[in-house]
Amino acid sequence: MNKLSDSTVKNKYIIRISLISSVILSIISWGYVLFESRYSLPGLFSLHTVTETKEFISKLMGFEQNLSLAYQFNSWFELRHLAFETLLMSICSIGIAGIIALTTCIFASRNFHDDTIFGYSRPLLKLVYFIVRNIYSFTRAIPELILAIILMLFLTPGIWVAAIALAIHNVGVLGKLYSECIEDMDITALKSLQSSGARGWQLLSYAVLPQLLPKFLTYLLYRWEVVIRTTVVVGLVSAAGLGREFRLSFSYFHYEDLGLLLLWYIVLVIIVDLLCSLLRQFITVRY
Amino acid sequence: MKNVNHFFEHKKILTLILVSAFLWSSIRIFYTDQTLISYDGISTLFNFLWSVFYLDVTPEFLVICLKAVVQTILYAFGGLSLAIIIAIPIGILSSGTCIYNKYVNNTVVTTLRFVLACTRSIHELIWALLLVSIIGLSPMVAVLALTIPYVGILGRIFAEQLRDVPQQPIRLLLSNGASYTKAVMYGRIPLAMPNIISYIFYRLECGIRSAAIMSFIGIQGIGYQIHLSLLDLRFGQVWTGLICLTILVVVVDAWSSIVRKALTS
Repeated sequence: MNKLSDSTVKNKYIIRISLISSVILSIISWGYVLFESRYSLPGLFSLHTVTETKEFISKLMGFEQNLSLAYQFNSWFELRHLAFETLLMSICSIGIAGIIALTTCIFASRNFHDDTIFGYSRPLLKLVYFIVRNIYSFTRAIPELILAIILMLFLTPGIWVAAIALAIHNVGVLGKLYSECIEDMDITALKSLQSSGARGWQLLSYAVLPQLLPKFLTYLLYRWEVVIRTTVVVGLVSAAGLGREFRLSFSYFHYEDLGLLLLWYIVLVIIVDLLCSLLRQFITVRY
Repeated sequence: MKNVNHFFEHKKILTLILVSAFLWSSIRIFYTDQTLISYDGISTLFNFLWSVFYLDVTPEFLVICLKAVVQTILYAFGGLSLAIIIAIPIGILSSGTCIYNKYVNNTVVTTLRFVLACTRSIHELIWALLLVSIIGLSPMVAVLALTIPYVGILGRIFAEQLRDVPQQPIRLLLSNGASYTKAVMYGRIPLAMPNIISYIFYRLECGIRSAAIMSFIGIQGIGYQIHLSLLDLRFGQVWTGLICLTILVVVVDAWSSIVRKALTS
């Protein structure tokens, strides 16, 4: 009882201290931001900004050249190849990431090297655990955009650069989620298989995988929704898909094309959301 | 209806769909982009990987990195705090629990959900690019560009959490004569608070990463330093910057997981 109350008091202090420190950090950051942008701040809250915004939106919609979005159905339709390329890129990258994360996540879970899964501990696998864990946190920490800029040094610009950059980042994210799933696994089925003499691969393929595969697929679909949003950003540097046209029309100040590209982007995101909710029905079916 | 249910029971169909989509997309990309590695790419790759052993750890560069890391943290906190402040009222309204009138409630919920979905579906860097062309390059752009998509994400989560609280206390409050607004104030918000705080701390790590990529439009920060060193082809400095970013994200992640563990126990 005493121990329990001790831990609750400690938790209370942790929560309080972190809330107070984050509030203080936010106040400092607002002070910093306002101080840094002091020249543009009076300009920000004025009529000038409103007119600029209005003008920019009318440029995006194509009212300037009397080419509003509704009249541009042909050019909108011509961009479908780029949108299709972007969709392919996202599918390919999430596929690569899923395969790599699925094959390596078991090494990054804590109960693989202690005695929970196999019934005996393997001290050598602890080293593998640390290496894989650190690789995951390294690839997870680096944003896709920076990865794509680095990859542009030695790969030819195109879809592959974007797909590989997205895949490398998502290996870290998915791998961490998957290994946490394995650590929080329900081990009753595992124990009963162990006691009836299952070993090694049998345990992994008959106890671990069937239990966790629905969860893994849910995470994969969730990451796909995130990836389709980032494809455009990665395309900005790797010259692929909608991102390339986006950057080009931004550089040429062709704002009416920009409006079309944004429209396609939102359409792609909606399509992927719908597809994901359709595919999730396979997973959430109850018998 | 029964047929549909039977269709979704076959897990093999899902496997078939996923595997064939992956194979088809990679084959299509192979046809369009046939060369993968650029001219002299392999030697550049080895050069890049080899320079892990030539990290730039001179005090000057480390000070620059530290400054950049602090800037990134400040932008992330600024954006997230503004997003939380905006997302709380929007989340309460779009949860559909505080307005008694059915028709008003439905219209408010659908419009707010649509707005949140729109802000959420566009990436923060695209928002930054659009904002730069409106208000010019200033740190304000980074903060606002972080704020807009995070309002979408946080508002949706707030609404979901407020809706999914245990119903018994709310019913008790309502039957004792509390109005819908008061039920939200004294029933739903206190019940949903731990989950909301833990989700905000979970999003902190993502916010740091998003603040780091604002370098692309010229906002200072650790991403900007990495970008500059990469343009100078100083791979040692690039690796130092990457390791700084990794340490930052790992520390923030550890902090947020400690807080989340304290909240759930």
